[in-house]
Amino acid sequence: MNTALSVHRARSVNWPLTAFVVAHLAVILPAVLLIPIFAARLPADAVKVESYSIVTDIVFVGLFLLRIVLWSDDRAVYAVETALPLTLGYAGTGFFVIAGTVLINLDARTYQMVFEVPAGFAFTVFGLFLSFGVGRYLGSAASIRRLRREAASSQRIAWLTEVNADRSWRLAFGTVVGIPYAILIAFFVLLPPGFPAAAALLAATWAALVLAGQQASVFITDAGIRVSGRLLLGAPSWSLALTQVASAQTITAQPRTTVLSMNPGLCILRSGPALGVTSKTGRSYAVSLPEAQEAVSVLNRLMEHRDRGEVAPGVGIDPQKR
Amino acid sequence: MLFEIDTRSPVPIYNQIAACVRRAIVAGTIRPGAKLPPSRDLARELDVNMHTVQRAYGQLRDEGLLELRQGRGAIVVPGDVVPSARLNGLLRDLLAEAVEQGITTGELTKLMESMR
Repeated sequence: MNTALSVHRARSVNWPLTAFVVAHLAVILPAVLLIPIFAARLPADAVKVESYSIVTDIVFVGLFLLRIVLWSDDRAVYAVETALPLTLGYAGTGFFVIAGTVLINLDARTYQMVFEVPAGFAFTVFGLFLSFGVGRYLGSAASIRRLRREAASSQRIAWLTEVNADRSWRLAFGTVVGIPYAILIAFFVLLPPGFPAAAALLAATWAALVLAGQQASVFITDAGIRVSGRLLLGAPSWSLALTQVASAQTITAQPRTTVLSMNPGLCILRSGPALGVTSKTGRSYAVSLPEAQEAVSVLNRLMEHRDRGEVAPGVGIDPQKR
Repeated sequence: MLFEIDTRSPVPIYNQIAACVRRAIVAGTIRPGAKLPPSRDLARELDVNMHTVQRAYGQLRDEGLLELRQGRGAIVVPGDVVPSARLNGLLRDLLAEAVEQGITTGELTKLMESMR
């Protein structure tokens, strides 16, 4: 049985990954197709925009593959609420950069990248916000839909809190994200005749992401747990229905050991206590929480009542008052 | 912060939400200056209308327990809670509980007098 299961797993198609790569290509390809369509109206060295799109796509796909290699415990499952913002964010920004570059170079004599002119820079930043914004909205909508509570329940429980990144997260995130950024910056500097504006934009983006830090909202309800990154790039987000929770415990976590894994089930923004959750399939989730003990107690009570077949328990309230 | 409501309770939902916040303030589980969840988030998680949450927050603001700032959300009033505001909140909770148990205001008053 085990052997058959292993063979099945080895041969199975990674549908979530395939879907996200297809979505990425579907967004970016129309922009790339603009290059041959308008080839006659573009300057001779406009072919460089193709080089740009290929390199950025290689970095993007490389990041995804790295994610699969490093995250070996469950390769076929991605948190849609993390992957959608990343996929649409990268692809959408690429779309705006390539399409914008083609548009500003139509009938031009000298070739310029879109972010080398003020209007183009604004266009690129708008595209970046729009793409990540749409991705975050769709990802969040997907996770909320997954956690619909029983219609028959009249009792509703919600435990909400927020967590901010500390210095240890900034250090870990800055190092890990800095590597692909450094590759892209080197590419923009070394590619003749050089794109200092693009390199500066990337460096500024990296610095802004590190300095701004991250924030995540944690929602524990009688429907399940939802962790949602709040800023532009979004901290790793995940959700798990209460029916799928096997156990919850307080753990101690460090960003330096979790950021590199790029596991969307680990939202570790601070060094210290975290809520650790294990699903019935054996998968581990975690989120940094200074009030982890309180969260564990709420979850344990919810699970106790779930196991007794009660839809929503009285958590933290004297039963005689109900 | 923990919120618990019962949509079948005779106590209006906004009163139940306000009572949760009052209890947390009085118990000290939410500190002065702390930010409450955005009304949109709380409404979504409790499956209630956002205006219901806003009404609860508005009631707490009128009681002097919360500050509602544009763009910053609901913040527990910094410093010690004004004693009258705290008493006001506790009385509201008591009244809500009485309504839920079918006790009239007159009966409640008699009960309180008998405790003196």
